[in-house]
Amino acid sequence: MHLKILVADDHPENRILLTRFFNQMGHQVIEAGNGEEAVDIFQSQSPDIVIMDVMMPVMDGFEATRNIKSICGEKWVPVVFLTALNQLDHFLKGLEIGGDDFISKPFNFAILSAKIRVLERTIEFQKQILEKTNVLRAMNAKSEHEMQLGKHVLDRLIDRAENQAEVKTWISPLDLFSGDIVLSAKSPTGALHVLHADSAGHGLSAALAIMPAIELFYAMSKKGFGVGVIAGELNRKIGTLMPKGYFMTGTLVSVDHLNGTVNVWNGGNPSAIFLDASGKILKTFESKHPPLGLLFDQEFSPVTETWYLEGCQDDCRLYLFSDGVVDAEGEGGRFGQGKIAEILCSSGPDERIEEIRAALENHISGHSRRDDISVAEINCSALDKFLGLPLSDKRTVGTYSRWSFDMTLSAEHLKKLDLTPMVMNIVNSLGVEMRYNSHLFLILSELINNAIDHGLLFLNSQEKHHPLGMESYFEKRALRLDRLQDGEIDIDIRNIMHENRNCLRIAVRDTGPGFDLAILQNLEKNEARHGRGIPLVRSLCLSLDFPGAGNEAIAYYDLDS
Amino acid sequence: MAITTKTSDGLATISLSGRFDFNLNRDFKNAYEHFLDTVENQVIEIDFGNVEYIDSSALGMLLVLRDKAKEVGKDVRLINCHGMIRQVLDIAHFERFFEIA
Repeated sequence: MHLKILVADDHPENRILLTRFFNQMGHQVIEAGNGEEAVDIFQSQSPDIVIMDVMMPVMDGFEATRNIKSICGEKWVPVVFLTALNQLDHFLKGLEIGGDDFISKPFNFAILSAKIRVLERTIEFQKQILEKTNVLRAMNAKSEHEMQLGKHVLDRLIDRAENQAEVKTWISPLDLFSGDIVLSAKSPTGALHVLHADSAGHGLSAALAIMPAIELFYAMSKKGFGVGVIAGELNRKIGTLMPKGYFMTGTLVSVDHLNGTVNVWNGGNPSAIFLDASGKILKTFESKHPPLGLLFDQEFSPVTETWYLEGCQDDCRLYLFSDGVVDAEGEGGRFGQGKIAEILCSSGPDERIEEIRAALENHISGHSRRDDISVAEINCSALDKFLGLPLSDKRTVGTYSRWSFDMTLSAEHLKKLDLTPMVMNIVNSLGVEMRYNSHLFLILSELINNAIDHGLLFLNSQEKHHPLGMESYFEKRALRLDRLQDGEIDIDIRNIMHENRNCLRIAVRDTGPGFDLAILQNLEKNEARHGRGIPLVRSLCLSLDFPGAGNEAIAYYDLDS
Repeated sequence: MAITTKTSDGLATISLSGRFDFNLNRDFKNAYEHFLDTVENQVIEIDFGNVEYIDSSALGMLLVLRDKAKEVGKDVRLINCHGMIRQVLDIAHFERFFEIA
């Protein structure tokens, strides 16, 4: 290697001697007559090695070395002191202030050339390290930039207007990204949907896997699909997109005040805990399914666990936890499910999340964390009587060309399909504005459920209105629907002019024997008390009639409102 | 974390100890790979007797092993699953994918 060597010595004869010697070795030499000159030349010519005399006028070798070492920064430039053999203190001080070696005067050229060769190897090695470090730095900066971009996108995806005030969270990611997310949205009928997902692992890869789940959850909630059905789609999507062995644990919750139910689908997350205002645990929703992304469609179960709000006092809340909370290691082992329940029960409703956070942070302090941590609180308080979500003001100007469709569905379809969102999809694609969806969804689902429950399954809705009747009602419904073999539902929807209004005529008919109008009136009276069902549909429509034997309902909905 | 393996009468056993997490990815794979190629081993047992901790990426590694084993017609069993290990496997409903003891 060809080196540039700076020789600083106030004795010209020494400089000449060394210059000749280094030139013979094939190196270039620059000379300085004192310390100050050496520092100047060092700055302007960046030599590879400095040979430094100690005693020099203007600035001595120590001072010059101090300056040089502070200038050269990351690049390692060895400074070799020239000292007389009897000046041990010079030698020690030189090393102390940053010198790298010494050569004693008078020079032994064999030793000098050997030392230069050692330094040459070290300089070469140092150069390689610096090059690699720079490559790593550039890569690191690039990756940091990409991470920030990814975080920006993910934050935007998660932090959306759809998220609901009833849901409060504490999320503490291990890295820049969180593999734990909590999303919430409202269904067209005003049911609160929540997804609490924990992507396997943590960091960017975990967060990346969550992205497709986010859009799917919002889109399907908006269309009114039930949480079990949404879980099924999430399972399929993650199974298709992600590599083998990957999965996402997830809890899906629906709080539906229209039906007075809390539905939970828990696949692989720790138990969700449901408490009343006094801190009494009313129910725990354990994991009943494997995590999302592992089962084939035919193995997958959308079955949810249901809690009936009827008879519950106000201010009941549901708490969801990721395994990062339960498994957090600290003093005395894992934080544990028992500790969580204990804190929930003994804290005031508004302090529970904060208490859990404080206790957990205290527990893990001084221990290394291994996972993302997240807690979600869902307030299940009953709202005032629900009368459909308000229509949004956003209007799109469009011209309708009249249309109609009619579909007939057999028992097999009724068992498998989530009818209302399916029909709503068609209605929307035919040009009916989304802003009517909350009303239309409600009308359709009430009429379809009435036709199925009373027309085909012969369920007695009186039962629903007894305390705790809801639960047995829905159990019976599930059982009878499963056994249903005959019977059809016919849905006929037309966009027509009716009494000079642009209307939707919605007719739902079943093949059952129909029912007594007196029973219907009684039913309406009962339901009026609960602010739901037929009276609610009637309040949203221009008209609602049950012509004939009572197995058909015809509603007119105003699209000019 | 240490991995030891042994075979007897068509039964291959992989014993793990300590923490079973992503750091073990390569060693775990190395440990089971030759069992998959060996015709005599019809069953691969994973012994959790000395495992203190298992995380979600370890669950993923088990699922990958299961898929590979299935391809060559072998069974995977999880044995000596105690305390926390059993709890984690139960919450994830791994009994749907493995025989657990």
